[in-house]
Amino acid sequence: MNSQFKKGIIEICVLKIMEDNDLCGFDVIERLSKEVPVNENTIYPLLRRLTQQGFFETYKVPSPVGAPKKYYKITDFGTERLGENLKEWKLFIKGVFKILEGDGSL
Amino acid sequence: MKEKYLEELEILLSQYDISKEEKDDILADYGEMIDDAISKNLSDKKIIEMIGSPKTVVKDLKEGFKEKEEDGYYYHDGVVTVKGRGRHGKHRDNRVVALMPFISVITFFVLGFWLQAWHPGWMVFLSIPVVAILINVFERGKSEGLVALSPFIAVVTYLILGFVAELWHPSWLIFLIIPVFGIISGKKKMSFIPFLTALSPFIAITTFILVGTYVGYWHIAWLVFLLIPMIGILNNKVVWKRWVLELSFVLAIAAYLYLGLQFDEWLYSLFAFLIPAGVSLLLSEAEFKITINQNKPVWILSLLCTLVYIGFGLWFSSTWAYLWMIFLTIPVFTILKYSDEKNKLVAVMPFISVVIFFSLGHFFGYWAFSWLAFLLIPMVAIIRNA
Repeated sequence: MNSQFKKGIIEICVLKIMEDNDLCGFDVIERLSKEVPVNENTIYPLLRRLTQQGFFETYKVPSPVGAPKKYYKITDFGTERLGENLKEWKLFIKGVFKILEGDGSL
Repeated sequence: MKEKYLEELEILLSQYDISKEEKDDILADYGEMIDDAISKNLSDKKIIEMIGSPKTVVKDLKEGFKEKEEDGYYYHDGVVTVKGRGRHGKHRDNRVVALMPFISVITFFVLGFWLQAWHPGWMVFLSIPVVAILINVFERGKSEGLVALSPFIAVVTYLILGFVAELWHPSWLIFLIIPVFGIISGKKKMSFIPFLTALSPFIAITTFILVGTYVGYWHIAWLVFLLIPMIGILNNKVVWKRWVLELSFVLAIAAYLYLGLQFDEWLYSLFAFLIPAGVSLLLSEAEFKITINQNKPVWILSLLCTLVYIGFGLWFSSTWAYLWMIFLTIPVFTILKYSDEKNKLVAVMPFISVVIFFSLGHFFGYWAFSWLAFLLIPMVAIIRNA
């Protein structure tokens, strides 16, 4: 699969799994790699980029065993972006399935 | 594993234009992810698989930096700032770099036909990679630019001293400025003693060669290499141990010189060095701990080169004149280890050229055209950038 295309999909997945839960970096990698065949080591750089672009914000939670843990929380801007991306993605995938399943009108 | 991983990551990140806060943030994030992975009992192999090796991490992060740099936009903590000269400035610079081969050819012919200065007029070709470095690398910072430029500074100085003053030896020592500049550019991360320890092999090699060449005291000059462990000892955290070890070295040197100069028994006087060896063993300092982990391979290589150079020199005596080229492995190693994959070949070309140039001249007497080897430098730079 084209890597840029894959990157775009992974971006949607990262935004989606963070929609309802705040997660730390390792949890994001674990959750995503469990469901999607993805190169795990590309997730953190992606997470970092999305944070820098304002789709996530971070906060720290004290940890009883070590240094405070950093959690990522989706911002309103991130939720808005997720909505747009999902809309585009669904429209795209609908068209793809229409072609692949052999719509008679084509 | 965590310390080693973060240390390697830090070294690799230092090569890019990232603020200290951002670098610390990345390192903290990876430290945290490793802790999380360890707490879930994952093996080192699995952890690396999940978070990526430092090299792949930097490669992925670097892609982001690069894209932003090309656009002239920098993102930091969600804030977008515009830096640099943007697209137009970059394009203008690239045009200058692209024009350099033509400018060099014209200059070469003008110098040759008009002033009959074919030699050393050919040196204008070295301006091709130099201009590219001046334009592209200095943008990232003065010290990084100086490190990138150092092979060319070394080659030009070496050639000028060689052709003008016939000082092929010991002017080859100038090549040691490459790892030295590298160490100086990384000084920000080091405190003074580790910094001095890192520099000590180069100080020792230079002093040894200069004293040996100009004063002729090779058998006494080698003592300067003891500076390396003596400075290394200063990294020892226990103050009294530091003093006892230093004192044992001073005593050994004094005894060695006394026995050698007084009785001309240089071989037996070497036994004096059993003093620091014994003291080290007693204090459980069987090996001198050098705290500059990142420079340890360079340090070991310097020591090996010195041993080979002195060993062969003493054994065959004729090897002094050309075996100095072995010291070029030090900057080559530094470049291969720390520079970008893309720029490695261009960066090591000055050394390959020097070896070809000197070998053809020294072994076959082809000095008249062996300088052509230096044209390989701009040629490779052009091919790589095409």
